[in-house]
Amino acid sequence: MPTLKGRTERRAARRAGETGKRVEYLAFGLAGETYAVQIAHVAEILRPPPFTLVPRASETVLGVISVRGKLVTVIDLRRRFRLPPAAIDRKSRILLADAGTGEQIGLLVDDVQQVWRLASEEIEPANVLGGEQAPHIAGIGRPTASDGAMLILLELRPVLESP
Amino acid sequence: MDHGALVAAAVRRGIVSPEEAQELTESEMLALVFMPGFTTKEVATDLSGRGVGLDVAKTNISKLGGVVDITSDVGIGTKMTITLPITLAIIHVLLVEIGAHLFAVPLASVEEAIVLDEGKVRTVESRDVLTVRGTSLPICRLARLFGLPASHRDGHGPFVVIARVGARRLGFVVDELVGQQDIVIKPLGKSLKGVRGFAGATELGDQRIALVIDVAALIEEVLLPGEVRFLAAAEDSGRRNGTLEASRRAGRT
Repeated sequence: MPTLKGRTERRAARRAGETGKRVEYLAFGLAGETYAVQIAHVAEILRPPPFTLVPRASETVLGVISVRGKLVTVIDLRRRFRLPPAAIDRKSRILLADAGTGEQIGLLVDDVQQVWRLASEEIEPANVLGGEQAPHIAGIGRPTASDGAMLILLELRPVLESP
Repeated sequence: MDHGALVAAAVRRGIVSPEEAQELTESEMLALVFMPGFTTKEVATDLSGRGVGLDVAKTNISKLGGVVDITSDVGIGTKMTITLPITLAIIHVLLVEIGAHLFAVPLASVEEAIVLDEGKVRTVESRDVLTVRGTSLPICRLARLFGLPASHRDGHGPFVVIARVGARRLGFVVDELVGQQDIVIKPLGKSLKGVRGFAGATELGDQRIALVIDVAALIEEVLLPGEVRFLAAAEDSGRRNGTLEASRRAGRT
């Protein structure tokens, strides 16, 4: 039975994960695609609070929000990646990202999906897409434990440094 | 700093008696440098030696509700720690509404707020000028500057908040005056440092945030556009502080 076989494979993959070095990625949706960032760089996941517009800021900046008394700049990842705009709905989330740039920045995403633990064999380098890739694409994740899921792995530093 | 030399100088100047000097702890010896009239110099120069400088520094720090501590190791160095209360960041502001968004204008630079009479607005070299009690006041429509839709209400018209920094006056046109409030000003993140015209932001409760307008920066930008362009260019080349100072000096002369 194919399902049984699939399950066995998945279990095998999970066992392999216990021995090999794996990195945890948080997967989220953006304009129909699944992106993922290293979970170590995500401090918190928030439901979008009302945000305050900052006139004259770059157009990727949605505004500022207050997170327990601290002001956090929120950028719209759709606008940052030049994807079609979408309204904030009940599945929208803000990832509080911190990639060592000295500032936590909120990233608005469509929805938050799950955590994947990826071994290095499950990550294809960004150049499989051919040609020059944007500096924020770290690679493509293909978790063997899934049925053909494809994760666009993001490098957060370039995104946070020039929002 | 040499503790012995400090105590000897203090005794010589009559700041402490020889008996008191025996009782001083190490930190009290170091604190002698803040006493009025204390100096280790025999002869005063044009700049120093009168026992005034550190006394003034300490007085001003105390006035702000702060403290200053010294630690020192002879031959190694001296560390002065100035601790100031965070409440320094509390300012009194006028809350205004522009295009349905709340902004705060520090009251320290507000002279008055009046109702805008469009009939008294004239255009001088593409700049709006309002006549207020017989004198000209350049005005800046903040909704337009910030790219926000002006939310016009029937009944009462827009207002002009007259701000002054130094000798320069500018009227900010806002849609609504909301009220006065004491606020704690918080810095905007590093990612917004390129955005000119805001000194920070504040929380008003119920998760609302108002941006605090940097009056001096906006006056400079509106009244001295050439200089601001120069500043922006200087900032891009990463030499902000030096050039900013240089241009301010140049602007004054």
